[in-house]
Amino acid sequence: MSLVHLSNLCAHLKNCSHVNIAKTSIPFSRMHLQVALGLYREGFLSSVQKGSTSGPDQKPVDVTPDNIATRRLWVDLKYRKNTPVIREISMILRPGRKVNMTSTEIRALASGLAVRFVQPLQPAEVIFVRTLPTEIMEVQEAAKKGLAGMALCRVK
Amino acid sequence: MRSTAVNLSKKTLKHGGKSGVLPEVRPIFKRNPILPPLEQESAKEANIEQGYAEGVPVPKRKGFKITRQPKKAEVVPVEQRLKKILEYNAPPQNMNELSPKERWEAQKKQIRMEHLKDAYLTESKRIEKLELLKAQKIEADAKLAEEQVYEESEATKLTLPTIDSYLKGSLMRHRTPEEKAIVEEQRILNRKTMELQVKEAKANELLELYHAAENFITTPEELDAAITDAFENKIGRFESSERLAEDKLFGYFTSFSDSRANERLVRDVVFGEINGKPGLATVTDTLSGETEKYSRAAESKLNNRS
Repeated sequence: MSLVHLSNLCAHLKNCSHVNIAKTSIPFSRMHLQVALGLYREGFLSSVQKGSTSGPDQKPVDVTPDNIATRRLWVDLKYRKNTPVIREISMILRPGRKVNMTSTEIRALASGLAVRFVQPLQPAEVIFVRTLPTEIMEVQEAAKKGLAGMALCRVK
Repeated sequence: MRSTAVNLSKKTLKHGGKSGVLPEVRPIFKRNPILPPLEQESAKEANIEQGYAEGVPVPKRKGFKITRQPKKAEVVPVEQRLKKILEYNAPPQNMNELSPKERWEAQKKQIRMEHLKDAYLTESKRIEKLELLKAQKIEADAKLAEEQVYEESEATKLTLPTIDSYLKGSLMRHRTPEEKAIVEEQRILNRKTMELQVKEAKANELLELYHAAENFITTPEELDAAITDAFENKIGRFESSERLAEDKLFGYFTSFSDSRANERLVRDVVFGEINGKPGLATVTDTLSGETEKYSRAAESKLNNRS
């Protein structure tokens, strides 16, 4: 998983919501799909669709080595009273500051405590953590499962 | 807190600001444990490896052996220890023959031995109790971890099945062996087509050079003639060139003279010729005997018809 790709995703979503764009596309990869689905479950996005560079798929399309280069994920952003639902989306870790957390720390973070320099969770805020090299989940879910992980980004 | 040079230095709080803190009690059985390690602990330690990886030359040190597995401390039970110590410090047989001072010394030694024995036995009891508690805790932890297996709720299982199913397995469908074979064949075909095109272009250029070689100067006579022709003033040719240039300048020029050249070019392309001379296709057909075969077949057909 690339930190740069996640940072780009955060910046892209932030830019799009600042200029009130309804639908945008992000690259099609496991990490992007996991984060997009996490945002959808938490209610920050109204839909996540598979599609190509030209738009969302009208019929289901198989992802093959021939069309993988043009595959995209199309996400619908939410707005309420002309303000974006995603108020803030930012990275917690930086290239020079990886934030590995034990299961106890994850539980503490999920229960509203500050962990080291990571500020406590606010109401209507989520933090995404990477529990395995290919598994990204919300901090509450990780705490429920009793997993250790790396804090990635926070959205509110 | 154990006193160290760091926390006893000038500006730190000694013992965390508490007074009357005694130093850590030194363990009695330090080198060799009196009880074998617990099963769970030894299972954990079995995976520990140290030293140098396979294939890396190990440095030699006198009286020291570097092993892959850490050396385990020998277990010496309390009874064995006591037996060894008490045997070594046994009271002398001839107690009555000793002088009063020596006897007193021997008696003092025996008292010390008794105290040591008591201390060892008490400590062993304490350690056994601790080990028992530790084993119980490990067991309880394992049981708790077993009970706390996270299971998704029924609602989660029944909703969002398709979205989560994306993340199971590979995101992309890989090519089947048949598709792989087709792609491989296509690549070979593309490469061979490119190679053929390059070879054909080279052969065409060679043939063009061959046809052009007809006008090459190869003898001294031809060279003389060419030099004379080049430096001789031919009024007729000069005038015609001049007229042509004027016509071009003032727009009287008709494309008649060019059309001839164009015609030739078209003919070359249509018939596959090079400047009116046989092209590559004709030459290869003739060399391979294809033309001859074809003309013979045509002739025989004509003969049969008549």
